[in-house]
Amino acid sequence: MKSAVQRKSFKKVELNRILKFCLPVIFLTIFFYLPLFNITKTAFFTESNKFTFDNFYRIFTRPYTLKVLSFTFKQAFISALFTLIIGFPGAYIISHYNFKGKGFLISLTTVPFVLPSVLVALGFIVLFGANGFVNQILMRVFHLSHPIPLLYSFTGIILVHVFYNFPIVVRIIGADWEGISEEYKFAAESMGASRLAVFTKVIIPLLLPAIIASFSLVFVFCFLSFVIILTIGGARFATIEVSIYTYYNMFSDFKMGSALALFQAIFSLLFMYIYLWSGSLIKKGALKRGVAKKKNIVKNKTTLSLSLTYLVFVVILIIAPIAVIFISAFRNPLTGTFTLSNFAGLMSSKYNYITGVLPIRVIGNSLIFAGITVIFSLVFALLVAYGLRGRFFGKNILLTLFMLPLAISPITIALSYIISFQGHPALLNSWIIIPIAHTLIALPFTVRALLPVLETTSVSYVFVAESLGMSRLRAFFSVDLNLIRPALIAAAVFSFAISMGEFGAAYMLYKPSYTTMPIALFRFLSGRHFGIASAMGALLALASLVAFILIDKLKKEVTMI
Amino acid sequence: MKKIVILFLVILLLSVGLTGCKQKESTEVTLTIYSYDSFVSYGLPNATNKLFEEKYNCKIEYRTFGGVGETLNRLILEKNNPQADLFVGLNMNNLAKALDKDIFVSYRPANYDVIPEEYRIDENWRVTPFDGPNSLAIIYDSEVIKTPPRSFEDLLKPEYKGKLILEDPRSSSPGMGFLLWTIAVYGEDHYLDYWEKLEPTIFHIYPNWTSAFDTAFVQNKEAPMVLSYDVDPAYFYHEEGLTRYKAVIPDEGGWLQLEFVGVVKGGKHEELAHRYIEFMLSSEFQENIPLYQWAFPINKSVQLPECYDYAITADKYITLPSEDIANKSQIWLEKWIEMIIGD
Repeated sequence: MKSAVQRKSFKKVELNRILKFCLPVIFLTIFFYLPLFNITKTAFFTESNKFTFDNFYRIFTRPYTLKVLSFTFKQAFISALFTLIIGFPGAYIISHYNFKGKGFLISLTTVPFVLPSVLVALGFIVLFGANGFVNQILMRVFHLSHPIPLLYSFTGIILVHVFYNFPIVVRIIGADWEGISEEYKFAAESMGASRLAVFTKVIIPLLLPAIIASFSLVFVFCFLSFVIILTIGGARFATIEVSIYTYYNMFSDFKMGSALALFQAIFSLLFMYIYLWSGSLIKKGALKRGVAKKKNIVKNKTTLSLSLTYLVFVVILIIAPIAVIFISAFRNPLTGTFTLSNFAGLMSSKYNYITGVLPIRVIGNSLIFAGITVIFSLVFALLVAYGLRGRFFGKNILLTLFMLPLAISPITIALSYIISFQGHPALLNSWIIIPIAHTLIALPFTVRALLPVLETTSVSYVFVAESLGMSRLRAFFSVDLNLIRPALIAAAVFSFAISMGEFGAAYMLYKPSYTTMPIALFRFLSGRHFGIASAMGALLALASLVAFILIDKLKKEVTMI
Repeated sequence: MKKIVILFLVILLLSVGLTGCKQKESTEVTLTIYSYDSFVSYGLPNATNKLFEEKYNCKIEYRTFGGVGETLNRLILEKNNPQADLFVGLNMNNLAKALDKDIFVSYRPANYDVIPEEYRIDENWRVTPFDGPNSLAIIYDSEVIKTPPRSFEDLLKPEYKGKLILEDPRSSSPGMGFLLWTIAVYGEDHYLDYWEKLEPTIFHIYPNWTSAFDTAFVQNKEAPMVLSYDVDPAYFYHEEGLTRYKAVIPDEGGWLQLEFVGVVKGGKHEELAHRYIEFMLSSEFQENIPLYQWAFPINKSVQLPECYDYAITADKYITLPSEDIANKSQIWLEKWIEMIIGD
């Protein structure tokens, strides 16, 4: 009976598959592959359609672009290296010990995935800026006449990148380390290996895929860094991403922008590939090693105090920049006293010239864009994930095509829209272009969150339901939806958080009347209106917090990236 | 779990609701004016809008995108789909770029004769000056800096190490002005040598004037010298009764600053925009310029307030040929970025 149903519907399944792909494929073609093609064309062809290598030649010969390239690689490498160093002990602690609050600590590692980078920049400026809390204390304690410049430097950039990304290292390496049996260690030690030798010759090689995975992921994130460079670095620093923006905005130069965007894409693709490849190595390794070991309660006093110091440091590092935003939101920037006026400022038209509409409506803009992004990306991701279910020829290629937007930066996406849709001002100037860009950015994440769950929920449930007389649609709502609900919520939360926090693409595509929260934050920040910036920042942080709590509830079901 | 899902849905619904209650479309005409941050925050629009709005039964909305440079770039990028009716705040540094991009339409205001002849820069009246002449100046805290630098060469002295706050020429108009000023003084072959020697003196280069002057210099006292304008001591005296902040214009000569207004090509309310320019030249607008824009009014019949006794004026002005600024400033700027950017 079962096989008959399956055989009968085999052709139907293939047809269904193609039907499901229709909508997402059309969307990706119009809003990703064609614009990407146009970027390539702009980079390689002159106005008279002649092939040219000129733009790339310029990239590699001009002192300015060469400096940008070397700075981009250098800061990404150093950031990723320090992130690894800072995150490593954390990975050790969460994989080896049980203690109170461990669950909370693991939850905190979700923070970089839901916290907008512009908010991190705000937090660090409020904390470490010239008029920030740390400097105010230092100046009072040491009677300094001038603040110490902690930010606006190379070190400042690295500091923020490390803070933002080290939870990724804790998460990836920690999870893998958990699976390494103590037996390896005992075996090595019984053969006379020193503890150092065990670590360098046994543990490190076993962890290597996880180390590579976390390093390459952090590298990509820092490589594409934009708003942190603009706000924390200042005029003297520019990544490729910043410089694509500068070429477009300052010089209206699409050609150099496109060439740089392509160059950037090649490298972020490469590192993304390394990440995925090492990720698959981790999975294989974990399968071989089998069950996780038991964990210890910390007994050794030195270990205990070291771990505690580290944990306190970590929690401060993650929480402090966000906490100060809330403090600063209720604080009069001039007198330092408690006030609600920053929030009142959100309702007044005083800052309309910056935000285009009442600041409170900026929040509305962000929420509506995020809402639309959630709906779009869920529908597309569901169709893609259903279509990809099971085994068929070309599955991996298709999956890669759907995941590719992951490696393309928001500024590149925005630039490609501006190049492609110049002739369609009704689209380019409409607010819908922002949720469209956000959907594209969110789609790989939503597909990643949904696919594993759909792959494991057996198709036969649905067949049974259908054979019992349910319509396909009813089967979907009553059977499928129940099975995939956690993943669906996780995907929704991800796309919500991505849209709420996305800065680069929105900044390039917005018009005053549809300013988003990160744009308003950035503008307040560069105008040094810290009070109202913190008030809006606090609200954005609350939205991230909701996302954080939701994802935390679904911890087990969630595939981050 | 369920609660959180419900909370999530409530937030979504709320967002739809918030956007649903869109502002009522008023039948009133709205004049949209692009400008830069500090033009609005210093209050000139606030002090004068009502007069115009009541007279012409319309609404004025100012929009900014950062400094003059940033807003001008925005205007250029919107060329095919203009959102603004007027651009207020263009100056000598970016005048050539704006005229080159052909984003303004010509209009000679009826009351143009209040403008002294030597400042009628554009003979086609695509832009009309409304304040100046002013000069860029180094503002210093006389309690920290006892002997101010008298020339560009003085700024290189070790005693000023790390003491000067500057603005980024890519996004800030005084920043661009300072870069051009150094070119006017040292010539295009040697200005980079000067900048290389100046680097130790620079505390930080801020993206725009507001962040450099208001926050870094005034509020946070990050460093005791900042690149700003000749009338700023008048501001300090008027607002805070302070005389400790003084201005100095290098002996080489002041950098000429005039501010212009232009009617945006393709704007929706050209007629009203014309009236606004005439309004800007009228004495009811001009007499607000000293205290709200902190610049000299272009209409010289306007009486200056007392605090302007503290303002300084340049003995002579220097500038660059505007076609040079138009043709070469991108190259000059790129070379400057190449030199200054971190490695």
